[in-house]
Parts: sequence; C-alpha cells; structure tokens
Amino acid sequence: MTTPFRVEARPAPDGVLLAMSDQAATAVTGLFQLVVAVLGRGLLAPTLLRPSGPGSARELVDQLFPDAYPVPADAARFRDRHGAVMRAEVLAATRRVLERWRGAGTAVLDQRAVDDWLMVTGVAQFLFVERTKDVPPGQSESTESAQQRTLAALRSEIMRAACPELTPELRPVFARYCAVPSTWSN
Amino acid sequence: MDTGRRNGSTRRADTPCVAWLVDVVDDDVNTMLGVTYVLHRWCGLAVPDAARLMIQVNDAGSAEVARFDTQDEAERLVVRLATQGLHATVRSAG
Repeated sequence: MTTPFRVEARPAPDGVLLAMSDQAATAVTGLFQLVVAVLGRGLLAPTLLRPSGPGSARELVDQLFPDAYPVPADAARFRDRHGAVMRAEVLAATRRVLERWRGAGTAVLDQRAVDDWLMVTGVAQFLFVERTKDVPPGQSESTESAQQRTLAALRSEIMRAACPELTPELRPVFARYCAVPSTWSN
Repeated sequence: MDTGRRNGSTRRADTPCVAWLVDVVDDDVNTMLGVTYVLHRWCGLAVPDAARLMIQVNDAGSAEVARFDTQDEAERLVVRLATQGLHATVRSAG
C-alpha cells in the first residue's frame, strides 16, 4: 500500500520545516535527479521527450533559461556570457539539495537551503512544460505536466513557510483573479 | 560631443547616459505567489511592492522591476531571476 502524496511546509525557529510522504519524497528525488542528468551530463531522458518539446539536451537547456534580449544575436551573446554560470549554479544547488536532504521525510531548511530548493524547483519546472502552454480549449493538459504541478506545489509550500507575510498580502489579489480566467494559479 | 554642461555644471565623460532596465515577462507556469516571492527575495522589494509588480506582469504581460546604470548590473539581475525560474529581459532606456 502506498502512502498518499503529501508535501507540507511550516515556519520553524531555525527556518522552514519541510515534511513529505514517502511517495512524495521518491517523486521529488526523481525529479531532482533528472535536473542533474540534464545539466550535469547533458542527457535528454526519454521521459522529457514530448511531441512539441525540445529535440536535444541543448534545446532543453535553452528552454530552461529563456532569451534575455529580443534580438537573437544579443540573446546568443548573453548565453555565451552567462549560460555556463547559470547551468552551474542550478546544478550545484540541485546537488546540495540531494546531498543534504537524501529524501528524508522531514527536514529543516535554513535560508540557504530554502534558496536552493526554490532555485531547483523554479528551473526544473521547465523540464516538463513550456513557458507558454498551448492546450486547446476542451482538452486536458498532457500528463507530463504532473511533474510540473508537483514542483509548483512544493514551491508554494516552501515560499508560504519562508515568507508568511505573503499569504495575507496576496489574499485580496487572489480573490480578485479567481473569477477571471487566468494562467496564474494560487 | 555633448559635454553635459547644464546651468554651469559639468558631467564626466564616462557618466552613463543610458539606463538599463530589467523586465520580468509573464508566462503560463509561474504562480502569482512565486513571482511575488522572487521579486521580494531577490529584487529587494517589500512584499506589497513585489505584489504590485507581479500584478502588472500578469495584467500587462511584463513589468520593469529594476534599472541600472550599466548593462553588466542589469544582466546580473537577469541571471539571478532566470535561475529562479522567471523570464527576465534587459533593454536600454536610451
């Protein structure tokens, strides 16, 4: 019998207390290991292939870090200047998270660890979805975005715990947008 | 060459006359909470100001979140925001 998928985070005296079910921890570990495979070894895992998605690891990495300039030549020069650093930072953060967390059911994250978790989850989302979704009306989102939803839920939990003042500040904003179709969720 | 003499003042030749702006661009993935948090944490914005800019990103498609005297400084922030999962861009105001 499997445990239900559960991720919770709460403020703690030393930072953020993160708790996960075994199922969630296994899933999240797998997602982070994919990040290491892509950024560390340049691998395009079969699970990341999708009909309209990137055809190579290089394209996938470019998708993770979108153009910083509208002119392609300027964007290319930006990648030349900063691409390696960005990939290295995210890879290093992912390795730190995996090394320190080791899939534990509970963990206390200090600010540095919170920053690492949010960096990894923030970038890793784009392994599974593109920034602009193109889901025709009436059709459900493709199954691979379940991984992105897992990462998004994890991000939200950690952010709310790390910065509790966000929730009361954003509640009226959420209320304003709930009635309006929006691509941004709570 | 314009030496920048205005009302008796002079401007150094290397005084930047172009501002470099960083914009955050909307996408279909990042949440309102996520964008607000990143702007608060990494752009030095108070939560209400970060929320206000997030709403602008959502409503208008993008928002200027910072401006710098040099392109290098602007690109450093873009790198920071990109490694947090946001789409940020650089443009000059001059």
